[in-house]
Amino acid sequence: MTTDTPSLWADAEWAAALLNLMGDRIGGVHLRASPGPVRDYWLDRVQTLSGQSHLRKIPANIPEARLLGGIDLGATLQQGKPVAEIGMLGECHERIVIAAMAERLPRNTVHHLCVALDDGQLSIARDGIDTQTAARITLIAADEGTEEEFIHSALSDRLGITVNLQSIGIHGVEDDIFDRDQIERARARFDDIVVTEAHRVAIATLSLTLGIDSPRAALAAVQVACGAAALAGRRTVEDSDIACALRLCLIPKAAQLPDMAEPEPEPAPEPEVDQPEEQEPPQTSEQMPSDEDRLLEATLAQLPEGLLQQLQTRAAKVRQSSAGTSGAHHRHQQRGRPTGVFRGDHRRGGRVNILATLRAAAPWQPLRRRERGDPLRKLEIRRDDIHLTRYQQRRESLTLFVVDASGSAAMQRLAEAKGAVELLLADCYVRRDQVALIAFRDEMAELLLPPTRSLVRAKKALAALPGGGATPMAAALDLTRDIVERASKQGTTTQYILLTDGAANVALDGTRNREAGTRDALTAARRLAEQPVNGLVIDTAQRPQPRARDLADTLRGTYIALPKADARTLNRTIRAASG
Amino acid sequence: MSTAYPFTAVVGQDDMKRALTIAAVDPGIGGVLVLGERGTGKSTTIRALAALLPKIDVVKSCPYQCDPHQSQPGLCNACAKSSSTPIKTTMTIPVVDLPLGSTEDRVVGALDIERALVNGEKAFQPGLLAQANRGFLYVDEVNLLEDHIVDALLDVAASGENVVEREGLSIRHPAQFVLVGSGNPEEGELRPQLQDRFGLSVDVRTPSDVPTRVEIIRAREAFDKDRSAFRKRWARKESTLRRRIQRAREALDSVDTPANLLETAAKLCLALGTDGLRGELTLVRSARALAALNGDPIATLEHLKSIAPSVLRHRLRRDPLDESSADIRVERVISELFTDCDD
Repeated sequence: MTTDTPSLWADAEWAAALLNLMGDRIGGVHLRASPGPVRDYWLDRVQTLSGQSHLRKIPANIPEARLLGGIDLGATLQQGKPVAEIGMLGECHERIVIAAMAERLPRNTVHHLCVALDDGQLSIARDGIDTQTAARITLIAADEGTEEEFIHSALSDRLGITVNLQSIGIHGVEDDIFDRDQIERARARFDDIVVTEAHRVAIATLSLTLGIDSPRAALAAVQVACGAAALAGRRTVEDSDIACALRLCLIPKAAQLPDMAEPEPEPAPEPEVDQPEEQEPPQTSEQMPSDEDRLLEATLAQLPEGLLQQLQTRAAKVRQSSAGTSGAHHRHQQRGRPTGVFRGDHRRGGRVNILATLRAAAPWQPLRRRERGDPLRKLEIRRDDIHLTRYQQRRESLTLFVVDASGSAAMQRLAEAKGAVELLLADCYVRRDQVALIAFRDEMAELLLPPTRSLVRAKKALAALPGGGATPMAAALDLTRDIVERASKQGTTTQYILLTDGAANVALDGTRNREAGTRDALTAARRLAEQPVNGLVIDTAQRPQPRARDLADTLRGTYIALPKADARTLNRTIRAASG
Repeated sequence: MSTAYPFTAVVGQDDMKRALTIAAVDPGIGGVLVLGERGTGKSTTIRALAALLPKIDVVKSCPYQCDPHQSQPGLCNACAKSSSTPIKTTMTIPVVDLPLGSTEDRVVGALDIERALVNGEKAFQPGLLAQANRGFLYVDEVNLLEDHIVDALLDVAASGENVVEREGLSIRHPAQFVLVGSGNPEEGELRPQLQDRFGLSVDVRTPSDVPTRVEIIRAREAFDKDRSAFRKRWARKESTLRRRIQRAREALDSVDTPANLLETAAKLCLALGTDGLRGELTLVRSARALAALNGDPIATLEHLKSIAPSVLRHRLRRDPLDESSADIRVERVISELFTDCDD
């Protein structure tokens, strides 16, 4: 067991070396870092170790035709037949590429990256071209490392190593450890590295203990452990290599942390006694042999201080956030997708579809050639032939439910509100809207369900919603504004439905004070009203009070009082008001 | 591809493997929908199927792989018109990938520009649907497919024929394929019409026990280290399964279907309130295919019972808010029905 604690930068340096050694086997690196000198330096290290002259970058808004390849315009026109142009993924075959702002990649781009990572090749069937391209890439998907925005889970799942540079300051950057020769030597050694069954079992067990569903993480961890051994100049994988794999591959993907607070039942186990146990794999994750315990503990002990706590907060969020950004990844539909072609005049705007234009022009060519008496001219295209691409600008819409679950809104009303939301959900399903759910009680407002189309998840989130406590209205409205803002940046139209009795009694700073609470709520309401959004306030008080109406007025939203309504009437009213 | 991961080496996921094998035995069942989380081996398994499929006779240089033994209908125009005996050749049943981001012209086919420009003739350049005739069409992330591509698929999958009316072309050609789709349901729902086109559906989950995980790691490691050696090690199992599929295809027509099987299928669908007849028909066909695969001469209630969840899971009338999984509902009705039968 190693006793020295590797620094965060040392881990990052190892990751850079491993990426170069075996990036194609583990997909690549999920880089979490805000832009800055540390990130630049790390990327610099990757490039230096790779020997590539530069690392190519895939922009988030790359068109599909450029990413995959498609028709080569110039060559096609010149030769009079479709000529394929190799796409960016094909050009980057056996190279390291960066997807900067990977959290912004449209879902389709994510898919193509995933296929390239899985198969090392792409099949392309577009614009008259039908071909296979080799595209074995090593990907660095960089996001800004914030908690709200994550790269798509399908992508992060395929990237074996996670590097987090967020907590490394410029002074945290240390001396280089590796050079290219070392990597080449490790490469020569790599295929002969021996992993014992015990180590495989350890990694499988640890990945389950850490609540990692996908087996890909464990597969990558084994590879990384081998790579680490190769880099260290060994022929067998040792505990320290497993610890390295654990730090780079498994812990960053952890959805739960094992309970470390519990004291060890056997304070001093003799490691030799464990040897026979390694022969047979353990049956379940509960019967974790002390071997894994020991490893996990050793690794956790190696982690720099503060990181653990950071992980713990992240572990709680990771499930929610990984799937939560799915709303953002449907952006391609909002930006307009090519959905067909039509004959049109390109001078009025619009994008000429070369292929359709050629198809329209093709049958006339012999005739036109004869007409002109100019047999040398290969291609003659007339205005009538011009075809434009039709884009569909589909506006995505989001219905955001903001539910007051405080004590004043009373349990029974909460049940009714839940019922109404459920009925509305069914409506959203028909319209294929996204839904999101904010609940507020006690000190905080919480985004229980980020925008999603999964109604089952919406329902689960709703059912789990507890009631009681104070009413932090201002916080709820601010959170609503955040979500609305984020959604509108992605071109999504949002409407929110606020179910409350309007009795705000928690100020923004968390103090319980009716006056301050109401004042803050009205200020927050004014801020929200500036957003281009339709709001609906449903007064759930037993006896409607002016305060909910005041709130609705400030929000410039529609107000509906429903002193005694069951879920169905509530639903009807909402439909009438929002329709 | 000789470097594909062997089908029989996929660890676990028996439901998915069985559904795909059944679809290979009887293409008329209508395809397989595989839904599941990340990292469950969906695409690996489906792509592995290609290496396992038996060979079929086709008319030489027919772009639609017409069957030389078949007479009308189901042949392309050229093969139907030809009076001479067609020249036969064999090929492995095609598995065609429909990648996300495909354009409509490549899916349904379009005017062949080169020939139009050079010879001035209007020729049809067949698309992916033509290539997939008599084979498999695989759509990864089927729930993210563009709406207008889905529209094209729906129509063709229902009629078994691709009709192209564009750029002055008027073409129809057979396009009977087994549609295989996979996707992660968390990322969006599948259009109900498309869902209905699939004969079988399976839910795949990641295995959560250590021994299976270790087995996955070990298998993958061995595969990555030396792909051809790994394939060689599995070659015997692969060819056994291939022969089994081949035999089942031949035996399919002679599998007996007792009357009580039809009756039970009807009762089951009625009790579950599935829409339309499709469920019933698929249920019987799948039971027969399963019997053929197992080498049984008669399709029994046992066959029906074991395949019913896959057939009916995605056909239950949808209550978008009902959390109780479709599987549980199907199993409940089955157990009710079968205790009745036993009395």
